[in-house]
Amino acid sequence: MSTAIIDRIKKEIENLDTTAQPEEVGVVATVGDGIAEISGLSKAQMMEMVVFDDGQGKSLEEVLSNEDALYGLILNLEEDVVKVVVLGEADRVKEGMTVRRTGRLLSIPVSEEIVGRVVNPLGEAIDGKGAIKNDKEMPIERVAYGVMDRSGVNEPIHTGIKAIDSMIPIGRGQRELIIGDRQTGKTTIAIDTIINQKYEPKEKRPICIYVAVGQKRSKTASIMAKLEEAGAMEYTTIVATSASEASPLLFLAPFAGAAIGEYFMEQGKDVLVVFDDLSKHANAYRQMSLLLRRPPGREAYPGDIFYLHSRLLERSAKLSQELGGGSITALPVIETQEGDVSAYIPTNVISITDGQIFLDGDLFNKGIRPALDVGISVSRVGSSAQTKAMKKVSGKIRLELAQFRELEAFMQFASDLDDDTKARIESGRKYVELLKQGQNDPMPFYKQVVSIYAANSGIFDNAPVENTTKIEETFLEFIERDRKEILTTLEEGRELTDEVVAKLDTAITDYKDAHATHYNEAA
Amino acid sequence: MKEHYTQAVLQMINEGTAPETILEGLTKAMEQKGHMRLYPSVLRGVLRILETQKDAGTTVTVARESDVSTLSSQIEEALTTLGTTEKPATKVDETLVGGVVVQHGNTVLDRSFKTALTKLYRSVTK
Repeated sequence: MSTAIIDRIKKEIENLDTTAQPEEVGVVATVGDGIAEISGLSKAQMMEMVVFDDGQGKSLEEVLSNEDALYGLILNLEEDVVKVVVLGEADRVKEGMTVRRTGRLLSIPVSEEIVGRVVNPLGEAIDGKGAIKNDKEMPIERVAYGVMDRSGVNEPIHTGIKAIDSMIPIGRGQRELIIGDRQTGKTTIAIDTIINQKYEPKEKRPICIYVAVGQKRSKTASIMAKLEEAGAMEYTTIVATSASEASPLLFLAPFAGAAIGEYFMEQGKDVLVVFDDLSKHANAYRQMSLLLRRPPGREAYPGDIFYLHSRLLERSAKLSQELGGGSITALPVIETQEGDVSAYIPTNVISITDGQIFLDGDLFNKGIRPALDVGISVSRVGSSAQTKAMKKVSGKIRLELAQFRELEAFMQFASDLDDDTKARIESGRKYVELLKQGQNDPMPFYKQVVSIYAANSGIFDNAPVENTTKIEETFLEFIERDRKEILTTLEEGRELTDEVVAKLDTAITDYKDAHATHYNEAA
Repeated sequence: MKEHYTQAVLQMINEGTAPETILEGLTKAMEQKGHMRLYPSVLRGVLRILETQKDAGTTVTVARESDVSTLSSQIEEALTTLGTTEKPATKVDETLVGGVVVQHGNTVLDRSFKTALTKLYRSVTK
């Protein structure tokens, strides 16, 4: 046995607290569907953790060969019994089993070591890389910071997606909903945002937390692989619950993610939390509430379904400088059915968040990806959360696309339109092409500024629409190779100064002269 | 209203009225007032209060018979901590390995070796 292990055991023995304290115990009266009714816990608190003593009558060897301690969470305080959701295998709970109060509310152990790991909602590592050292216990349920403890959202968080960063900018401390039907690219936007944070300087890079609520394990594994490949796992934590796990764990997962985020926010750091997705979260909460015999309301959801999401999302904040200036930015995801954004849960979450990104299945099928419906997507924080450089270039693109959308209906009558209208349609189509982006290919904001500025300055004029992507790609390569100082200046200064503008104008002219083949003929 | 019925029944029990008389009287009174739907919850309330009122009962569990005398000072200290002076019932449970578990009503003081070793094992191996 290695010395390290012996030393650790010795330390644990020295630190072991053998002075037992009196504990209140109860007895399992009934158990079924993951819910146990316990009698005798007269002083129990709401959301208190209890531990099931499944070692009763078993030898020490049998107890140690079993799995970890089995916990439960008190969710109903009734006249004669308390109802407890079992946080683990409910099969291990038997009638007559002793249950002890722990005296503490549900919390998750957090430390710096949790970054880069995959954990369950109880904070236990599930990535096979060993236990995580515990620095602090963060409460799962907690009151959000008050108004006076917050400051305004004025710093951008870049998603790396041109359409979002230019027209639906997100700020640090904002809640921006990602909403759309299945298979429209919601998770891709969230993952691209996480990957894009690698372009931020280390001291300003937000810590990312991806909360997988009831996802397929294969999907969570592929997301983890993508993040690892992109080098994003070094600043990301994944809180994973699969579809086969008990509904209480699905219910807890987003709160666990928020609790981990608060640990870092209180140190003055910025955090990005993705809740993927809250529709499954609502379903899990409905299932749990029905099993707890809480009265069902609309669509069988419990009456406090709004409060479930509002108290979760209110924990996202931009703290004042006195409290460290840290922030939690939330990207909740909601899946709609047949594009119905007026359904119960979507409307609830839309009214809570500070904006929404709508993903349209029709746009996706037409090949416009990301399939953002820019017309109805909004960020209520707006340009306060944009760099000066992006603010300068995004005005024109917004206007062009708005005009294009108006004229789109006339496209089929192209031969009957005047030249000006045809030009606007052509320009709009090029902007649509410009905003297309590959999956898991986020673009740093300084390249976006260059790309959009070039488009505004007419780099695509006299070129067929089909060549738009090619021109953009080769132009950015040209800038990266021959005019790198433009990118460096933009990255550091974040501003489109007159000097940078002049250099860009020269670069555009030089590019056009050198790449005449891209114009007037399809690639 | 339910609490009034519950208190009335408890007073009658404390005065020594026979249970059959109480139940008969309660049923008639509730029928007359049209409160029969409260009947089950009144009875449940009475039973619950009687449960809490009755002697909690104290149990000492040890791993071996001889531990009762060996650990007598620990047992006394535990009983004091739990606030009881009554003579406890004794049980032997070999799976405890050693130490003592004292329970008074719904409160337990667990100083068994099994619990301490399990805690140690889980903290070392997690």
